[in-house]
Amino acid sequence: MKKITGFLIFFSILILMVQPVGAEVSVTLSLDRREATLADSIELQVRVSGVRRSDAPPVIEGLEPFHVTKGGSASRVEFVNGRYHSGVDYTYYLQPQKKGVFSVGPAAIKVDGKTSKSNVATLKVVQNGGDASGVDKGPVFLTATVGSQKAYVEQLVPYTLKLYLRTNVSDISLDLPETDDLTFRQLEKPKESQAVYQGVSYRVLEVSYGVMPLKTGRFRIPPARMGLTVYSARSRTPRSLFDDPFFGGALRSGRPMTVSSEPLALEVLPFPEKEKPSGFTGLVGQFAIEDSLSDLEIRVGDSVTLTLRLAGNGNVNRLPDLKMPALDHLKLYADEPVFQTRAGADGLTGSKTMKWALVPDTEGRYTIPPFTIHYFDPKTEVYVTQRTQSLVLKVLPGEKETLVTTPQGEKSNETGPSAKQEVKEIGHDILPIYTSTSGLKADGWFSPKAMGPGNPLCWAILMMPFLFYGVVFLGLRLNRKSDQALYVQRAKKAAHVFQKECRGGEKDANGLMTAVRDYMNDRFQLSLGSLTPADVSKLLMEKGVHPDTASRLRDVLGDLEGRIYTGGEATCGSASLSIMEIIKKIEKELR
Amino acid sequence: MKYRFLLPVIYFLTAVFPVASAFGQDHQGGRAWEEIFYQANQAYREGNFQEAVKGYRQLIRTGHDVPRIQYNLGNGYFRMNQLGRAILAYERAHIAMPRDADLNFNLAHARDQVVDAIPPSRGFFSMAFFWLPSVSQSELFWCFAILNMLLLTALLIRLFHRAEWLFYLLLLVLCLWMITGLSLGMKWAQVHNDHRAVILQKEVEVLAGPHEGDTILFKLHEGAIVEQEREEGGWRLIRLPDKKRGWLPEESLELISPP
Repeated sequence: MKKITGFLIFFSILILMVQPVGAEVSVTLSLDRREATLADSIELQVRVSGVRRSDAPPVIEGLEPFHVTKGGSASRVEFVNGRYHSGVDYTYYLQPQKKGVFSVGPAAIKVDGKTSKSNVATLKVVQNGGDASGVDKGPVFLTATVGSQKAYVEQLVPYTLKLYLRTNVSDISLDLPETDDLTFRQLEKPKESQAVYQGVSYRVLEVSYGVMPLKTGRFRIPPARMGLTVYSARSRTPRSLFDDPFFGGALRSGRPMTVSSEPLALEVLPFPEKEKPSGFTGLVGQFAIEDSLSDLEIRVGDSVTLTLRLAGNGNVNRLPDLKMPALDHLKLYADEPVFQTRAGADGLTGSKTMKWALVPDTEGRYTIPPFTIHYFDPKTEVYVTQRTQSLVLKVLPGEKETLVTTPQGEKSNETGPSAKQEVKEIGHDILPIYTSTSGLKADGWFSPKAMGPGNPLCWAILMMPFLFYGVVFLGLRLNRKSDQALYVQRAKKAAHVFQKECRGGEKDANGLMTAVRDYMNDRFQLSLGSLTPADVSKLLMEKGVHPDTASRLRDVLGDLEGRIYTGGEATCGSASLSIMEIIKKIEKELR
Repeated sequence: MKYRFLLPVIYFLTAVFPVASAFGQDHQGGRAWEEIFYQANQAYREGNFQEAVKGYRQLIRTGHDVPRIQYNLGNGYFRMNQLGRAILAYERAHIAMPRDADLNFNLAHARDQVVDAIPPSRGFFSMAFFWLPSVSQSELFWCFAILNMLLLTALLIRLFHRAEWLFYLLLLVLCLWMITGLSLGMKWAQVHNDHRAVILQKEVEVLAGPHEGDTILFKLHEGAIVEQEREEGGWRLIRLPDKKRGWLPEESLELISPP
């Protein structure tokens, strides 16, 4: 790195130290050729030596007959035999606008306030090469051809431009000939091919146009001009840095150029008057006409679509709008015609489709008259009349529509799916009356209109569940209360029941014990299965009976219990009386 | 006298369900109204719309004011080019059968022919209870009655059997019961406070006051639906959704739900 830096410093010092040789300023003007055609591009170079820069670019005289494009400037530094030379080169490209002999120059340049002038160069400009067969036309040239030298008015004649290339070009632009009575229309996209011309291989860029004459006469189609930038290899430095494939030539400076085609002649003939149909409207080409009905048999009030299609190749813009004549008892609703056009290798093709909705209001047979068009066929040079066939529409009496359904799984006879179309409303009316008597009876309170708060039935229906619920709820409550009352009643009657059972003193000890247990259960709403004397005494005291009374009953019951287990007297009359007396006392104490 | 408590129930049922008498009356008059109906339909088919309208009106007067008769009446008026009366009959039928396809089609068709463009008023309640226009009062009532029965049945079961699923069922039914009950109340209020009226004359001038010489405020045309505010000496004060108000002679309009 240090070595490179040192070399650069040394080189700079050397340049500064070396004085330029021949400090005198000289200007040289040169053209790359002495003779050129109108389609050529000539390189003009102004070479200024003895300066590294100038105050302004050179002023060149004699450039009026040319279209001048600047090609840029370049500084030049040369070491020749250890001497240093510098200069500036200016490049221009000239495109001749007219033929003749022209003097180009001198070029004048001002350096440090001093003006230096160059020499003068002479250039001869001649007409384009034209039919100079056998002559090399150069690396780029343009040709034009027409499909036919004769044509009829509005007949589209093919007009083909071919750009022959032997070098790389870019920025191609095309100026078509401009004439008032001829119109051009591009038919195809440009296509590229290879061709051999005069034994030399070229790349050919082909553009197809159609030229349509608008009136009769002899016409000269002026040359078409194509502007482009040409890239050519430099002879002086054939292996310069920018010619390296690495750069792909992209950084090379191109040279603008214009190439022109040859002028062409076209004779436009008038239409022959012989056998000219009266309805001829100027349609030129080959055309066809066809009509169809969507249905040949319909009912009154239904609609059917009549479709008429004109199609062909030629001046399709002149396809006429045909009118459907009015027919009695047949309403016509016309759609907007659909016009389609396409440009291609065979010229302009197109179609116009017209549709009418026909609605008959009376049954019968309706004949749709044929439609006619006239055109002139330039190939056979005769007038042709195309006519459709008459269509017959059968209209049946109107009938209520019946829905026809296709069973699932069955396919219709038609192979393809039928085209769906939007349902169009043709008429507006109300739907019919109800004729059934169902639902018309006067239902009184049950009628839908009466179902409201003013209807007692509604309230009844709404209140019924509430009432039912209330009844059940009250019933449950009442049932619970009646059980309580029964228990109270039984408590009240417990002593009476005991006395009734034990009256007469015939109960044995076991019977007495059972009677006492029942009394206790009824009196205190219990459900005990067995009672010991101690339990009875304890229970009575808990309920508020005096302890003496309770202990007396306990003693009597203990005595009875002893009799049961020891097998004593069969009857217990005295015990029975004692218990009855004690129970009376208990009742008194419990009140 | 053990079943003395049943006497009020029997009395109530006798008062509420005059079933036997109603059936008898209907049977006697059945042939007559059916005959009128068929004759009116035949007249309509033959294009004698005046006769058809007369028959339908007779049916309505004799208690057969059912939506389908109103619909047929509307058709008859429409055929007679009485757009206002046709819309009136259609609107009356629409109250009881709001989802009838034929009726809605004809009503829309008739409304299309009305000259005045009066947008329907949309308040908060009509937006909150958006389903109300699609159901009739009787449909809402029967829904509510069924839910009412379900609710009390669930409560009844709960008296004897307390289960968790029953509690959630009760909650669900209670919610539905409340929504339906509220809707029924709203619908009832709508129907019984329906002050919409239909303009019956081809063109009518709406005045600033209830007098012939008052300033003409605007004009309305046959079939336009307005809101009637009050009535005063043969004149009616009407209001439009855009707050325009004015007086009209009473013969120029008729209420959709007459009092």
